[in-house]
Amino acid sequence: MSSFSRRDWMKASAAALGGAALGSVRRAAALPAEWDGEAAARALEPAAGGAVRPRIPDDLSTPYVGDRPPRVHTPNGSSITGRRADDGAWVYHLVAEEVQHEFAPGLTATCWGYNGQVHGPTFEAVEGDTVRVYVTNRLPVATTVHWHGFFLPNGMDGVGGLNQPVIPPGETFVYTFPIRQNGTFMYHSHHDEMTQIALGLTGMFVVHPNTRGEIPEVDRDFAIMLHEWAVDPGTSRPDPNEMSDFNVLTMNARAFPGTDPLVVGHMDRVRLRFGNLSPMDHHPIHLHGHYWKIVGTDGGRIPEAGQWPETTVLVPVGSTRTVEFTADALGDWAMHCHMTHHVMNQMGHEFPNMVGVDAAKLDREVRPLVPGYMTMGQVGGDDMGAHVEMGHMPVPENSIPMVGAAGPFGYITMGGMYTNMLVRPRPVDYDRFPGWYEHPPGTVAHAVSAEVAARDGVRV
Amino acid sequence: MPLPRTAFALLTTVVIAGCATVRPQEAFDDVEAIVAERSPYRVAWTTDSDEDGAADTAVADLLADSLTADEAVQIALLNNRRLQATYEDLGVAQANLVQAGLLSNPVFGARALWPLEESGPPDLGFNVAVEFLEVFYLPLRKRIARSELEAAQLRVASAVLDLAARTRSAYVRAQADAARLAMQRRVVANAEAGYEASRLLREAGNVPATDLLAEQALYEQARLDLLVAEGAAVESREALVRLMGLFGEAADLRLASTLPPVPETEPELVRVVEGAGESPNPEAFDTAALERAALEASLDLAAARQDLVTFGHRIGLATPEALLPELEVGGEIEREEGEWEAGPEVEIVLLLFDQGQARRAALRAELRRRQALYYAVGVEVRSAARTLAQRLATTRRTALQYERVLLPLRAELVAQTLLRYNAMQTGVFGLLQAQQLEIDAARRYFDALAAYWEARADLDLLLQGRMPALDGTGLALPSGGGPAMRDAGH
Repeated sequence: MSSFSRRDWMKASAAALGGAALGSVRRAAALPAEWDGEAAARALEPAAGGAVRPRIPDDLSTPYVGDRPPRVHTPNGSSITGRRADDGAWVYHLVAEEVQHEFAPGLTATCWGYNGQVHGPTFEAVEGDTVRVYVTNRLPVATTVHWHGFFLPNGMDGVGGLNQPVIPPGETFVYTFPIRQNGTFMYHSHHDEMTQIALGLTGMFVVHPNTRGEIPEVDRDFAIMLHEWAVDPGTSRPDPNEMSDFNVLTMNARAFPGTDPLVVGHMDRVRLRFGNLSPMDHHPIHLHGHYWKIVGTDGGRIPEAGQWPETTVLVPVGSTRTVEFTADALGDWAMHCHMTHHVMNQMGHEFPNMVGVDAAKLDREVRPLVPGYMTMGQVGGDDMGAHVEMGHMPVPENSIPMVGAAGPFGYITMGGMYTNMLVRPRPVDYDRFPGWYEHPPGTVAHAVSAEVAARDGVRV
Repeated sequence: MPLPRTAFALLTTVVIAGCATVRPQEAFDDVEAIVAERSPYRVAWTTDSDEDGAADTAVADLLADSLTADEAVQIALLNNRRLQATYEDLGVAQANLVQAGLLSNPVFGARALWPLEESGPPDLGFNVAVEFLEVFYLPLRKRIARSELEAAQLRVASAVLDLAARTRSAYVRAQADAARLAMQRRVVANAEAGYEASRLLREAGNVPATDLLAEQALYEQARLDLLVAEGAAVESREALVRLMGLFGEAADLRLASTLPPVPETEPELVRVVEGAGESPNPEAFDTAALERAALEASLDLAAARQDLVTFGHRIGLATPEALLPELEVGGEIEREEGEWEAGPEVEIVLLLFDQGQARRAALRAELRRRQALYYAVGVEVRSAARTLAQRLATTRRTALQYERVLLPLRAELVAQTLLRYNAMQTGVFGLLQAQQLEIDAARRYFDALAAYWEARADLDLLLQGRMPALDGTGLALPSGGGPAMRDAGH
């Protein structure tokens, strides 16, 4: 049951226009000051026969470019697998440019990315390849690319001023190096990193082993880049000067409800490759309903004896962590950063602590002054998203509720670095949203009467 | 000794003229005409006539519902007893004029001479002594008295226009103070909401005592300011009531609700060229035309002129107007050189010892003094015209800037802050603060409107012919403090 049905105080009467008349002063358009909390609550509950429409695209497939089929799925992103040149080298082309990027429906910003996307495409190469990566700079400033975790000629390492001259705007540089390792790596700008990484110039770089069997085969191989941004509501460009108050936390540059779910088959072997190039924060990523083993870092694969089981993997800044597990539990399983402020969207940290405040009294006091005012936060932030979504609480342009998306049982009060892993009986179409899990009877928590509780000696 | 025939004839005419009665109402008609020509108001001199009743009825009618500025002025003109007292100057001056036309009463003398030597009837002699030389002075005396009557009429008309302008200003001030009071009530409501919010947060255990104390201090300060605003509103209403000559129940005025916004256009003479951002400069209006209009209308100047001309008559100049300094070109005072004859008396007095040279020197000094004063009034009127035009332009532009730019800005800022509040980016205190700034802008807007309407009343008065006090507030610059503000650290 949604918590809103308790919100009888929301049956706000129309607020009287406040204060003394200001003569001929034109007020800004009045905000809707009236709405029906009951109706709002009903709208969110799965009505009999009326399914709640999830905000999830039906098509979850990953576009890719290159001569080899991709083996890695980058949710909300794509792979770039290289083209074979005459001399046998694998050629890639990266274009660094400004990109209009959508973090989630309703929140778009001008970021910096590669090949028209944020973050850049996931490179896929094979150990033993020689790669030539052309980098064209269409940014207004110089840039470089650092191949994070690779062992390569010093002059290819991409630190501007140290290993190479920077790539001026409008110019194309080429990086050539042999790949002598496999695993999960990254690439990112290494020039004015504070700005360029904060604006999104990062990507994953997966190297597959060239000998089959060296690492276990998996059915689903995902690459997920973790990142964090400062996008003030009402603005449309991430603030690279932010050092601590990040308010948009992303997986592959998407914040829930903008993250595509991971669709896997029951008993699939699943590999997740996490990279973290957040400016300032490590992220403990937690998967519900399963345990995984941490099998690799950007330093390489961990010998089996050194792998340990976890339900949460801490991905430090500037590292990758690869985990593997068997999806042995059917259902809709949440996977998210366990830092609570990292599962919020555009959290305002200037908001006073309203928990436990008598909202009705405060409404009576403020509403005559500010038509449209409604006390929030007195029971936390669980209801805000729904209000915003239903339009009785207008928010600044280009901003999204801190939490929330409609789920099968009401509102999911999560945002930011959050996604769902949907485990379904095989065969399963990995590229389609399969619908919410249908629970076997008697396997969903539900309300009980006092009599039922009393049978177990529980008094309510 | 028989009277010469000519003198006799003169005497009769004078005696007949002396029967002239004193009719001050005619003099008041001229005043009415002067006022009517310069302003839209009616005046009534409540002597003990039926008109009293009419004036009282008019006042009662005007007081029946809420009061506009024009109605307040009209009531003051009909009802202010000081003004009525001023009207009596006309009675006095009119009586003086009649007096000037009367010959001194003749002195009847009789004598009887009894012969000392012999008895017999006394030799009786009768004479009527008439100061018949007065006959020659009469026209001069009447001219002087007429001049003085005219001067009195100008003084009375001036008093009427002054009272009208002061009442209008008082009305504007009372309205402005009422508006400020309304704004201060909103400030108090805002501060009260902040205090209440802080109290509830404190009760929930969410804020330290300092936050609550700070909000409480803001609230208490706002209430104190409200006390001051209430006092000011009462006093400015009282000033208006006093000028309107009211007391008791009639003093319980209801003013029109709020200060009117600045009008679309100004009177012809002070059309201001609207240019965003540039400071209004007096060159934007035709200052020459404005000054000319003020000079033409100026009753002060007319009075100074009248004074000079009367004096010229008094010293026997045929065309005293020639004494008037040329004001239009602002050039040098034309001095009239030469000697003046001291009236007809030179034909009478034997100039043996006192040939009048000392008196003439004194008269010349008096004359020069009057000329200098006349000239000075002209200069002051010109300067006042420029000053008030400038003031009107400044206050107009200020009020418009508040109305068209700043208030919509502040309102939009409140609306946008509410959106940020809805996004939980700012709290209730941020919202209240945005609104406090909006209220403050509204208060400043009313200040600007009041300054505009006062400038307007002053300029109107100048163009009606009276010199306003130029110590009008104009626009006060915002004081350093401004409204007390919450610190943003909530």
